[in-house]
Amino acid sequence: MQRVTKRNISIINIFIIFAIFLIFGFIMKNMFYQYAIETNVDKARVVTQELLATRHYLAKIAPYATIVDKNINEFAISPAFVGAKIGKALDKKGFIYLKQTSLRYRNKTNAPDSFEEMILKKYERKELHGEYYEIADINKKANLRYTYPLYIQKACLACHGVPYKDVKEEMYEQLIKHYGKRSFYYKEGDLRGIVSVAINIEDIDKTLVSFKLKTFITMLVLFFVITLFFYIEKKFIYEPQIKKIEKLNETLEMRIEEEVAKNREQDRQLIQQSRLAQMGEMISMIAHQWRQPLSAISATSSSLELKATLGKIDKETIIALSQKISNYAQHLSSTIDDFRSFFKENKTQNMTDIKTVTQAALAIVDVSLESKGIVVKKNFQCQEQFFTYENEVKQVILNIIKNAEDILVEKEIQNPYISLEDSCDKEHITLFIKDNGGGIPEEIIDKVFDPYFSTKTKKDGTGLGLYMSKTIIEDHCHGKLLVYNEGDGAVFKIEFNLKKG
Amino acid sequence: MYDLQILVQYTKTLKLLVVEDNKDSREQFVTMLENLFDTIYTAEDGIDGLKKLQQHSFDIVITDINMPKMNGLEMIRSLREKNKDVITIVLSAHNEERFKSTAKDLLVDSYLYKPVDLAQLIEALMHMMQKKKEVL
Repeated sequence: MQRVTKRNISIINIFIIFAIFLIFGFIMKNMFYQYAIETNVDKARVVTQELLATRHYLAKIAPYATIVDKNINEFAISPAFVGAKIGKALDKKGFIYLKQTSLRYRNKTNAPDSFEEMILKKYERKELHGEYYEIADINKKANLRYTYPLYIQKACLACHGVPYKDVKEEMYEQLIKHYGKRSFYYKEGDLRGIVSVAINIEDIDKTLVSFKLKTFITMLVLFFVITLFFYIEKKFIYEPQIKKIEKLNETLEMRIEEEVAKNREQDRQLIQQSRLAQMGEMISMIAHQWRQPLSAISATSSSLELKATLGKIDKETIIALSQKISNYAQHLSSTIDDFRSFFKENKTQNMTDIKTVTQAALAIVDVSLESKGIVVKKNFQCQEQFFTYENEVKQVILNIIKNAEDILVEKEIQNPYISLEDSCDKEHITLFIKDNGGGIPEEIIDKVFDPYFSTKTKKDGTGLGLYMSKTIIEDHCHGKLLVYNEGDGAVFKIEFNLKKG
Repeated sequence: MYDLQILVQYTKTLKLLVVEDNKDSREQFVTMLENLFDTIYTAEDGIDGLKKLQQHSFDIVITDINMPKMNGLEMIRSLREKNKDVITIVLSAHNEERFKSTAKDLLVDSYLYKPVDLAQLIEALMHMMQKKKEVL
């Protein structure tokens, strides 16, 4: 999960870097244009003001000047002429384009280009006043175009005003020869033309391109650096952490497996323990069953020995006592057979009835119960046969009876008893095993069938007896095993399904 | 062989009480003891035994330990309050070792395991006889 998030961050980074690149580029472009315009407008202004100042100066002195050299024309010092010369000189040197132009030009070389013509018309219509500039192409090259209007001033009237009034007779005669009547009757404040300046800013554009390239490279480098940073972070900080976590997970899995194996081993040991406990119980039950016939054999053989020793024996006595011993030995043998068949694992089902099963279980413990003064009350009425795992059911009944016996002995109950009763209807046959051992405390009655739950602190309580009993009755035999308290003791109810079997 | 004859001569003079709850065991045991004793009384448990002990004066009591109502040792404890002379032999199952020290405290003369080994019983009775003779 974390790895996916990390990868997303990298993609976002690329987008952020790209966006920064765009914004930065845009800002830088604008800044450069601004810079290019401002510095070049200053240049244009200076040039224009110099031209204007020259023209102004010439306008003042020209009417009074006398050209001595006959080769030089009188108009060589006229402001318009000198201005045009300066402009051409500058243009020739390739520094700057400077020109005086008008819609009413006298010389074709002074004719306005399309940009100048448009600007001139705007001045005429009084849409523009004072200086004006913009970036426009000349021969498809970016230029800063600057214009400044030329208005008729008082100084101009000395040569271009009203003849004989403003213009002296001498000056008039000179001018009319060269320019005709058009160059008179100027009025102060009228637009005569413009000073047009153009400065090539292609170089700046080039700079801009190179700057763009530089920025691009810088950004690219920056991008790689950032990517490298994330890569390093991922490789040397993040991935080792992931590996650590993965390793931890692996070891965790291993630990879990170990714990599970341990638990299994514990289970195995518990089951083994439970088997041993069962075996111990079985041996103790056999011992109870055998005690009486063994002591009978012992007593009879002792009797025989005594009689023989004292010489009080006859043939009949020997036969009678020997037969007795033989009978007791037969009894011992049959007890062993009973036990063997009882604890034999019989995997098949057979037809039986509840009384037969219960009696068989009881036969194993009756001597033990009797020796402890526990009375067994029996009340069987059902004759119905049903199909079940008889041996397993016997073991369940035995287990419940043994539990009852243990509790009756442990609590030293007066007049202890265990009652075995059945009841049946068309579908079910039920066995009730009841004792007067005081019942199971309510707080643990729900847990008695849980595995490993035991109240037998000393003895061999594994906590598996009732759990296994429930498994046998409910899972194998498809019946029900319940417990509840009634009167002065607990009742275990074993219910069998007659139809299912 | 000679010894047994002497023992029988001695035991025949004694009055015996056998206390055992299991009827079959009791009867078989008595059948065997009839070879040694002439006068044998029986009781079913400790309470019954005490009653018989009050009614008659016995020379010797052979009792089982594990019995309902009152066990053999409790019966001997009650008996010892009045009579310290009665010879007592207890019969114990092998898993009742815990009673051995109680038996010692109650001055039980012999502690035998079930099923009773004849040789041990005779030895116990011989020992008893010799002690009696020394007293006399």
